[in-house]
Amino acid sequence: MAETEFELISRIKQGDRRAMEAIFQTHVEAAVRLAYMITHDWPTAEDAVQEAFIQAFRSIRTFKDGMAFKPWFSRIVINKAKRVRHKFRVEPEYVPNMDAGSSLEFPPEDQALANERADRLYAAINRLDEKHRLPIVLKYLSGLTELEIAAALKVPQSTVKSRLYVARQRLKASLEASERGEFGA
Amino acid sequence: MSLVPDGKKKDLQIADQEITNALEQHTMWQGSPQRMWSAVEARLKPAPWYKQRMSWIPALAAAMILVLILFTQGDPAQPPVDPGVGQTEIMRFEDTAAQFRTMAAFDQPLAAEKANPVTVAVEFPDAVEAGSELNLEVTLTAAEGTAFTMETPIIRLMHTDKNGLFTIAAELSIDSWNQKDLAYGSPLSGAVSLTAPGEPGSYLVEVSVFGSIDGHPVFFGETKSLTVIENPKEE
Repeated sequence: MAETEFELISRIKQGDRRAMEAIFQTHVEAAVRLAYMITHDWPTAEDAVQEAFIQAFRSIRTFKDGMAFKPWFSRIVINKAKRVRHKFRVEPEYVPNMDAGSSLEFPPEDQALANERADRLYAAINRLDEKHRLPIVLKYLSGLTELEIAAALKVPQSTVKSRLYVARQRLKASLEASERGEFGA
Repeated sequence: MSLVPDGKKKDLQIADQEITNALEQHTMWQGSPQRMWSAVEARLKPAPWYKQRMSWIPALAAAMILVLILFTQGDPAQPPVDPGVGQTEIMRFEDTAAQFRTMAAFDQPLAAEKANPVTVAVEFPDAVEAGSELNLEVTLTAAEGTAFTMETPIIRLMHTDKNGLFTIAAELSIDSWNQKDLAYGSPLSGAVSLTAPGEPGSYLVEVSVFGSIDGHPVFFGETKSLTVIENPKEE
């Protein structure tokens, strides 16, 4: 029977390597995606996540029993990624979505439009300032609840709510502007 | 020109799933989790003996001195001494016992240290360019039931040559942490910046934290290696 996250954390606190690996395997991909949304560079995102796991495991005794691991760990990942980005001064880059067009489930024209819209949406997310981009990433990519985002960013839940609202308004405005051909809006 | 047909203008409302899809499609990680786990696991392994804190050395030294004194005191081959000298010897032994009581008081926290009441962690990149800015993140965490009052933590950057000899390349202190209290559940962390040495090579970063737990003097530390690589800009 699969162990719960609480049981795994308890075993990690006793130094159990298998429990560490289980937690690592569960969270590594989401963590790298999150770090990438901050560094915009895969090697530095991987470095940040590696350092984040090491710090998390070393300071696991400060983690309170009964809490969810993901918000706590997301905070460590964000801090590490920001530090790495600062060090290497990586600039965000816009990467068109080249792979998604291979699906045959939709008519090619609709698929192309959907891909184009996803590209523009992704570009619009990256144009958001970090204060508004991180809640969007944590909610829609990491799957955190608003309460968990508040814990990860150490801001009140009401702040998360308002930032998400503003971010979505800006994304909508940005998409509408690009529909009108105002690239970079 | 509009990129969306008129009939699809309603799609400008952004669905949650659409945001998720856009993010997921553009953040497909192609790396190897197993390779990363190997790197993480390697860093989590206990440090080799020469990098570990030698907390057993004071205990060993005390034991050796005790054995030496006991052998000296109980030597039957010693010539008989007059009562006055014997009195002096007894007093010396009492003095020695008092010294050992003092050492034992110092030794108690060292025994407790093995259970890691305070953990010192220092994070920084494994390699930096010569003369560049080096950012260190120092984190102190206390175990449950521990109340640690610290003195000023000291950070030393030491150069190691081919023969294993150390030279202190830089030293700085975190004055703002002097006399700070560290308690369970409230870790203390801070960032320190310094300029990396101009000479490429192998270095050690050592963080030393003296302080007291329940009035007993204790010491905690962490040592990690740092590689300074050539800075192409300086050539």
